[in-house]
Amino acid sequence: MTSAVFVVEIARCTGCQACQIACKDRAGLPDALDWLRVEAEEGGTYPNPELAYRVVHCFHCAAPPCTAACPTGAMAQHAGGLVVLDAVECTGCGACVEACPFGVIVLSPEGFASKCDGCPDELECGWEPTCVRACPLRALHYGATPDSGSLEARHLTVDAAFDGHGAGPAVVFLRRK
Amino acid sequence: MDLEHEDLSTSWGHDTHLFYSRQAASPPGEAHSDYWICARLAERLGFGAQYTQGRSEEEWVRHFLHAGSLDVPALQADGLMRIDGQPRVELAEFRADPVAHPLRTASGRIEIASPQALAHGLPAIPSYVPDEADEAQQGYPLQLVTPHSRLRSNSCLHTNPWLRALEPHAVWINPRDAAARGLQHGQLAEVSSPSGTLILPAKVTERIMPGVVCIYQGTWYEPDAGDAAGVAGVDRGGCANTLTSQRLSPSGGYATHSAWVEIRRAGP
Repeated sequence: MTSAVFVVEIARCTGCQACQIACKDRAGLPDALDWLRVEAEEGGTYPNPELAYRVVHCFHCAAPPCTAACPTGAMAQHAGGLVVLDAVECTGCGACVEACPFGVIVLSPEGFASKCDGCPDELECGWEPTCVRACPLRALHYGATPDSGSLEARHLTVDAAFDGHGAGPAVVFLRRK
Repeated sequence: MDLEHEDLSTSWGHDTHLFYSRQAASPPGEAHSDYWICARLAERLGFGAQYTQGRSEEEWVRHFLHAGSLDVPALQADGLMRIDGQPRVELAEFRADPVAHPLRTASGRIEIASPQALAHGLPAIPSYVPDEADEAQQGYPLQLVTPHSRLRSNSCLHTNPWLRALEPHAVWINPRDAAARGLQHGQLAEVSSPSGTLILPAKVTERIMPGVVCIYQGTWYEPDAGDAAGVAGVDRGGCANTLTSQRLSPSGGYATHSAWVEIRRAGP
């Protein structure tokens, strides 16, 4: 399984969606399709409104429900940990779309599964994925799981709201303490 | 045309740096610089010589480069130079000899109280003047604000479908104001002012102050057919300018400081 994780610093994200457009551009996605979405979570009451953004895409789970659901083996976990779709083997049955607890697999206009591929070509070059590099606020990272000491020093705490499905998504969301 | 011609520029809003950029690429296709376009327009309008003063674009760059005491080779080598350390005296000739070098005011002097402003029905010195829109707010209790959207540059890029899809255009309204109007998040809202009417979805959010509504500026005006009596159509494009007055200041500037609107639910 992969040791690298996506790190999303909720406290830094301004919801600009540059990651979303960069992803769409790199992947050459059609207008109506996105592999990455930015969810806005509003709360509070004026004059004390609260707002947090959560960048969500396939986080290449340790125990991916999508690969388990795929009847043809088109959705499979590669040795490096990335969950990759073999577009030739995909029949467009939509079982993976149903199985994913995070709603990050979509059907393309042609009727086949489509999702974040983890930018394997960029990782191979030693780069971070496109979404991470596109972030002007440096709210996104890709690499080792941050240790508790560094989080403590930066007054950050892990936001566990995205877990709880037992799938083990390779992501750490960080909130300000 | 930024990379396709040689240019000089200053840092935006603060004249602390001077930038020199050499031409990096040939203009593609039939593209030309702003100067080229303006010079030819001026020629057609009959004042070409006054506009160009006989200088080509390159000659203007040379002219400005050598007009002062700039270290031109250093500027051209580095591409930028701090200029805030070089004090520049504004109206230097006038300050030295106000009689020989009068200003372009009626008196030739700096006019603190302006008879010209007074003649236009304005206070002679800057004073608070109640805005006409504020006085006309009866029946329009909500104040409209129109900030810039990150999805566009003013009205440019509004036609980019990727950017448009990132955030649906909407009128922001506080839940208290929305509830008072029976308006729910996502429903179509009719926004009216004395100047016009538009229809767009409501974004009900605590992020906007009660009594204030927000429509990002820059979306394109799309009026529907209007009625048989020739009344202008309702704008379906959510163009904020539909709701603002077109009053100009005596010097020709845009003079809208406030825009008051009312909102009601449009249809089901």
